[in-house]
Amino acid sequence: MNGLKKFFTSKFFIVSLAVAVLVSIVPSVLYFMGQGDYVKATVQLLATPFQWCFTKVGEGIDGYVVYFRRMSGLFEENRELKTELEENREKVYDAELVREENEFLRKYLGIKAEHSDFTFQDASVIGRESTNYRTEYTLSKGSMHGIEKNMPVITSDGLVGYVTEVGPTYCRAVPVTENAKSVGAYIERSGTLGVVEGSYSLSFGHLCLMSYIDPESDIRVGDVVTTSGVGSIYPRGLDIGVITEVGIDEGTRTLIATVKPFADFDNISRVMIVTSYELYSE
Amino acid sequence: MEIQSQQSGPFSKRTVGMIILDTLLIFTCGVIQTSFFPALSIFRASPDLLLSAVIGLAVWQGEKSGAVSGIGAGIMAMSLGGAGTALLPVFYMLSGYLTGIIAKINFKNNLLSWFIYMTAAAFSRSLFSFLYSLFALRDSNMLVTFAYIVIPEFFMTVAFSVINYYLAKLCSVIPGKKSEHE
Repeated sequence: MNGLKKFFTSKFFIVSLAVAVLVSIVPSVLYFMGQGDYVKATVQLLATPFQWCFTKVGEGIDGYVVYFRRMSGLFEENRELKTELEENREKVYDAELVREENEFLRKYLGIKAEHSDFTFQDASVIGRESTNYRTEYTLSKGSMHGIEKNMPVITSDGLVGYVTEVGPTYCRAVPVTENAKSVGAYIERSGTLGVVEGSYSLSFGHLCLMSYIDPESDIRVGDVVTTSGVGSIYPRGLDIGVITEVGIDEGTRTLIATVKPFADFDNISRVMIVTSYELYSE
Repeated sequence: MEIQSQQSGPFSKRTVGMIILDTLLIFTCGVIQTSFFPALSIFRASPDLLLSAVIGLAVWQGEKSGAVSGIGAGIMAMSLGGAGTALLPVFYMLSGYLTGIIAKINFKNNLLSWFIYMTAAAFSRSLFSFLYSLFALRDSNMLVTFAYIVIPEFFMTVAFSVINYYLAKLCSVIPGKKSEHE
């Protein structure tokens, strides 16, 4: 106990305590006297650049730490945003489907007004057999929907082709560009008749050939070709395409023409199958 | 205690080296405590590095070094810190002096012993902070003071004191051992 007492009564302790008290009190006294604290100012002056450096280091580290701390929150936010995005995508997709259907029905009404004798069955293209040498569409309607072989298939743009095969819930159709059944064709401007059929070499460019044209007839590039309704499975008055080239068949000495169909065979998604129509006999 | 600073000549080479290193340690701790740690938002309170430096110097160099470095730490805290530092020179000086005396008797050269000392010192510091905030601050709230000041400061001070355990030891070792005439 005496030893401990010695420590707290030693000269060093008393001086130290006095200094500490003075150091504690003097700055406050100086402050209240309106005097500056030079010791404090000097220490602060010396420390300022170091403090600046360490603050920057701390802020730099803090930036990383805050980033990683936010990661969990960001993951959650990201998940919510993904869900929201997915919902919105679905809405946009639904809206797009509705828009497409609306457009399709509007055009359907146009054709229906033009061909009041037609009855239709709309169908979607659910498959394509597009090999290097043949194009065929699988459509979403079949015998259950009243579809039969050889029924014409059209879009609002024009003739597509005809039904070649029918299943209960599906059918298959080939486009006019394929080397299949020929189409009785008619050029309204000049009243010229002919036959449109597929050509193997032209089919790669989605073109077809109009042949058996009277060599005296007046046909020009740009003439619109429609179905004549004569001698084929197609009704009269369906747009087929436009003439892009005119020539002479050396074998038969008749005119031939290359026809570019109106239907966009690469992007067909919905079609109409003409299930019945009236035959004209002019 | 192997390392002691009870030098006979106040200007011996070892003493001068020790003063320089101790000053550097106190200065660095003061700077880091008032710049680096407040910039880190992950910590709710800055550790009292000055306290652990004073305790470290007191443990390794004795009560006189503890007392002097305590005054120095108080000056640093008052110079770089804001309000609430007025009595810190007295607190640090007493902490350093007392620690130096007690360490002479029973300090074991290991971290466990160090943490016991630091826990006691940090507890005193927390008490100091608590009393200060209770009496000196307007509208102080005891729960808030404990939750946001006292407890975080206590744990941070103890946790980060381990750095100063080694740094203070270095400050005592680098100037060399006490010569025979010291």
